[in-house]
Amino acid sequence: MLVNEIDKTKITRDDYLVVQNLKTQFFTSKGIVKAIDSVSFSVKEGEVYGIVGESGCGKSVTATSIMDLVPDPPGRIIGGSIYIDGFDIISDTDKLVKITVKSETDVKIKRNKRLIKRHNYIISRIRGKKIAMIFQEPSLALNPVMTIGDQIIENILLHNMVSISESIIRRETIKDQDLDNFLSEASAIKNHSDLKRYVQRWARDFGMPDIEDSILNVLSSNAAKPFVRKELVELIIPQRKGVNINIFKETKDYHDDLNKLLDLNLKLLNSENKADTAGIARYEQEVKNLERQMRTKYLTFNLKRIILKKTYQRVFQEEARRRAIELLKLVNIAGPERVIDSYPHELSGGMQQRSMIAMALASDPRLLIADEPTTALDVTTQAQILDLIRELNKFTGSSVIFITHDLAVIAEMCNRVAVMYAGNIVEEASVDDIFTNSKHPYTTGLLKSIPRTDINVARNLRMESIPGNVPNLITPPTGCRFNPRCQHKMDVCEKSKPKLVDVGDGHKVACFLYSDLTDGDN
Amino acid sequence: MASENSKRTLLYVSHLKKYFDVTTGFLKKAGYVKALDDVTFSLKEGETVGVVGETGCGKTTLGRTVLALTEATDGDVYFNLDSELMNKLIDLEERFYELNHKREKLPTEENELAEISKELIPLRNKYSLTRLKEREIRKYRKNMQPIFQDPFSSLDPRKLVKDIVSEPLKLLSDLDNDEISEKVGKMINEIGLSDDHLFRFPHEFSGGQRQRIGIARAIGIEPKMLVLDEPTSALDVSVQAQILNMLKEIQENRKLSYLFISHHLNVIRLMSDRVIVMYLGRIAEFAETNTLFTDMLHPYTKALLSAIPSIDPTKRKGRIILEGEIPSPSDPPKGCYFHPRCPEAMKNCGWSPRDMSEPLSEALDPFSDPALSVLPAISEIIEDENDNTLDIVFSTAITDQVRARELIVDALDKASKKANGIKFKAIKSVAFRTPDTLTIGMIEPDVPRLREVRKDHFVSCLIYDAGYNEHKGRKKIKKVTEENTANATENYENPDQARET
Amino acid sequence: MVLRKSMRTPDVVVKKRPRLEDTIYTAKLFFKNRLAFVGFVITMIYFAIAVIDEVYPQWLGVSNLNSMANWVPALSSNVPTAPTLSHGWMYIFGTTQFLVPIFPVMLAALKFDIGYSLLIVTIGALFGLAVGTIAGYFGKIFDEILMRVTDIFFSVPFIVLAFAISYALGRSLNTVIIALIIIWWPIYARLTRGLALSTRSMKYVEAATASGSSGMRNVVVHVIPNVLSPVFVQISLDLGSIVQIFATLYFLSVIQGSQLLPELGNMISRGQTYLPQGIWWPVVIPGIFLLIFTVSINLMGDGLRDVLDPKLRR
Repeated sequence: MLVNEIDKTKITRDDYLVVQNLKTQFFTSKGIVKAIDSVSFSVKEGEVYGIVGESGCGKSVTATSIMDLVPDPPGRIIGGSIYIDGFDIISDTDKLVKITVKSETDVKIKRNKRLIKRHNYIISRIRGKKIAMIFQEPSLALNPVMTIGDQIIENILLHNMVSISESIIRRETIKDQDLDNFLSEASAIKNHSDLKRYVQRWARDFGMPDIEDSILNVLSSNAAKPFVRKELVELIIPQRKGVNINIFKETKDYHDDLNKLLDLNLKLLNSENKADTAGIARYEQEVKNLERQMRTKYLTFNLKRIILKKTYQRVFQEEARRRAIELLKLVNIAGPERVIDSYPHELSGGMQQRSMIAMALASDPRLLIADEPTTALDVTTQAQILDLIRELNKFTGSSVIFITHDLAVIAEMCNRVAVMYAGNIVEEASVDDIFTNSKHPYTTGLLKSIPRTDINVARNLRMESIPGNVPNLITPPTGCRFNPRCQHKMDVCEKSKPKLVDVGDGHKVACFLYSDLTDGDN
Repeated sequence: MASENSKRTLLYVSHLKKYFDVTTGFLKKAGYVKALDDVTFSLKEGETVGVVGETGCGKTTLGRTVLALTEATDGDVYFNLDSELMNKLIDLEERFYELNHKREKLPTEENELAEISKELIPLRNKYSLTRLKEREIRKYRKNMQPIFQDPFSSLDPRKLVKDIVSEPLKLLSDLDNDEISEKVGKMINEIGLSDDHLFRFPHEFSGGQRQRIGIARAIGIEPKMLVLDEPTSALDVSVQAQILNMLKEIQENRKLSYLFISHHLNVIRLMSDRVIVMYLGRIAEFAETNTLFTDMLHPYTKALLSAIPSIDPTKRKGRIILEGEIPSPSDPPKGCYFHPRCPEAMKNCGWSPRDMSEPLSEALDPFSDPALSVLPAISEIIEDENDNTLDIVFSTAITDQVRARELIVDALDKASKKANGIKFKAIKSVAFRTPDTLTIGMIEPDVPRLREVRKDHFVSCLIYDAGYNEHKGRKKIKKVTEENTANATENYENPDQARET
Repeated sequence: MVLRKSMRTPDVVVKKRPRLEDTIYTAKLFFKNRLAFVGFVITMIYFAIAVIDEVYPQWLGVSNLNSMANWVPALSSNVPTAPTLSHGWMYIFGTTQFLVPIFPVMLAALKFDIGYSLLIVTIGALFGLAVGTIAGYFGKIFDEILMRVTDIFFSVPFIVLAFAISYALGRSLNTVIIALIIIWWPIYARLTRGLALSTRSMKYVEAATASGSSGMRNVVVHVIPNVLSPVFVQISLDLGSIVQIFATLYFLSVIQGSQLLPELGNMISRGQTYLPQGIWWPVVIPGIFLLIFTVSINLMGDGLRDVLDPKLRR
């Protein structure tokens, strides 16, 4: 299935993403930019987690670090761990590069090319499969010389070979039994919207989303059951293409095995990082075995694939195109059949962002990182896109990290929020807590400095504002990085750095006003 | 529009139009984009008028045209005139357009119009910024200065701060060099930077500081009006508050008038006395700030305001999420530009053949209405914008045309009762032209004009047209809407007996 | 009205000579690039030689260029002699036609080559800058006409154009220089036009207009200073190519001047008559000398381009 609707009973509120002590720095000619300084947070499954802060606070760098897309040079993740689905993707940071810092402007970085290559191979698979990202400027993120459709299809074919083969096999081998099952289950559903959803899912599973509406029409026509059945068969028969399904079975197996191989490689990498010798030996052996198996098992398949190239690929292309249209429908694009063949510049900003989201959904990610997705859009378009992201989050049950500078957007979108300042998380709490009971002086100041549309203000009223500017991160202030702008500054604030501590109900603050003065890093 | 107010009118913009030519190839004109279409408003001394709207609504062009940085296509801008003269001009302009817009004029009105034109045209040529030569505009420039959005492109990277701040003084004031240096020093302190900063290049400053320098440049010449084009959109929230406070302080100390352009509604509410809401080059609504935010009338304003994300969870109910996109300004819809997205659209709001072909093919699809399955398939739908008709071409000729017409009228009737079905009520006639071609005629749309619906509350929307000049409050206005919709045609007519609704 | 102390940004050290500081910073950035540094040093040596040759020619021992016979002392053969150390430094690279020693003539040639290139490039750049910025800033029909004119120049290969002009005016070095000036300005016009177009839409130009600045003043005060640095880069790159073009034109005997004119192109084209006899040094040594100049000046130009890129400086 393309985009899985969640089974609500199975939601586990487990941490899908855990970031611990992440440090990312940029080595520039003017000095080392300490862009992220020990950031820790976690995102639960199905949760919308907000990261808010001003420019240069490190929110976007956090996102690119999670995606492992920090531009190198000049940037590098230099420490910490990022667990995705329980697996640390940057545990081998130390092995990949050796960084010797002589002075701020004189840094030697020695890269281990072989290890970086392997790391990138594995991470790129994880990245595509488990996390997807949408960007602020869709016009820059989309390839201007490819149609929207081709870009989505490319993504679909990269990640969905197994499920495409499965639905082709199901479609070609559909049996009376399947139809009977479908009819009896469908007749049991009384609610129209539930029925619609069920039919949608069934049609997609069986690779014929084209006739989804027609099936629904037949089902709701209140005719006698045998008549319905006959109508359905008439609808389904022309859908079958009569292709040889053996090759699709093999495709499915092949990609299943490839995924297995990736999993094994991940486990191997994990054991290497833990220096677990028994694990290394075991997984190395398993990787070798699987590789050997695959070589013999798919010898003929690979040959067939080359010989049948055109017909074989066309079936996948067709199916992927159908799925792309379906994705475009999912993101509420009007006239998807027209949009799929248009180039990005032919679409408005809102449409481009929708296409971007459709592309991100192509791999059915479990975590979607949205980096200022609505900042470049107009208010009314923003409302549309926010609505869409919210719906998708409910529909697919995937987690979302929502990054923005707009506190009001955070208030509308998120379950939990982290407020970042100068490369640190200064406060983390549930949305309600942040807006009604903010603790950190920076958060409080920020909230007071937003003009409100819902409150009438006296003509001569002044906004409260935070004095000063965001600090330069080459030479950040010592201790708490907010101390030069803080109204409640104490002596200790310059000397040591407050830790993020829980002050109750998961509300975490990094400020000495709320924690023991001795509880800091010097 | 000259309302009784003790304050002097500093700026009066009358029916300002700015069309940009769209060229293709070598100097070939392909059409034009209406960036500003009939924009009229006034700005009083010491007042802030906010201009708000989305991308492509023409708000930036408005600022540039008012400052005479770009030539207007038509319309007039009067700035900083003697109050008697200004009032006279306003009266003349208002009367001129009132008469001019009447479709049928009485002979007395014709005479009056001719007289007004005789008096007005020399005055326009003498005082309107849109008609003066650059040399003559110079003397007005001293009193109007711009502040721009992007703090990175608004300061010349090759010039020192002192040269940047002193440029207007050098060009427009009579001060000598020493006096200019002194003044520049004073300005730079006033906006919160120190003298040392004068000898630096712009790239050494943060966004907020650059914006301060831009403000120093603009107010050094002691103007009477600032045109602020998104002055804080590129800044962080905490810095934005600093700049907005500073702008308020400067305004109070110097009695400045602001034309404040922004797409941030919250900033507009904080800064403005009155607010103009623009949509595709036209003013949709113009009212006092508090009225606009609490008691808005135009459906677009309602949607715009309800789309703003809010920190307060209780304020999030009843959100109107508009469908579709902002239309291209080079090819705007007929009638009211907002009608295709308008949740409160009526039948005369501008529905034209190009809005109809898709809904029609949907409504006449046998899948949605099985009764239609007796008709042959539709092979194409031809839009004719000039004739205001659509031709539905069937794949084969129809013999029983009376029955077919009945079926189609039924289907259209059904469609008009569905959500978003109002466009089907704009259908005037349904008739077969040839055995295989059905012609659908549309009613002629009305174009809304900016009208004073209540005191000092201007709206450009047909819903409120009937309430024009009555100032009777919302209840009455609401009723008009209902009547209008209730009046919708129950039956579509054959063209030979077509009637005016 | 002075804002609260807390709202002020922290004060910093007074800078009395900001332009100088800015230049020093630029220089620092430039010299960090090692290739650019090497290119710069070599280019400077070439320029120094040219200047010395102009001011104190006796320092180089090449004062009597017009009486080359003076340089033929004890040698009696007509065949160019091979590089050798035994006849003093002048003969270190051997001799060429008429037994003229290669090394001092190469040094002397720099004066002419660099001088002529500078002349051509400077005139071309000035004219092109004026045309390009005005076309870019004022746009419309003016722009169309100017740009179509430059298109015509671009569409004809410069060698063909140089041929045509010099045959029309007479095949001397002077006419070739005139021809090169005529074909060189469109490069600059096109370059600066693009830059002026983007500068025109900058808000600071609009702010100046709002202060009553005229179009011409905007061009001079705001546009030209902002398009200058790419022009300098282009100039540095062109200096190398013009010397090469001289060599080409001599080789194709478009230029027919004094046989004894110390000019690298002249030397190379004359030296090539000896190539079939296996006498390589009259061609190869001036060739390498020219190559080093072209490469180093290009390295310098690339370095300049990087440093003057405003993105890097922000």
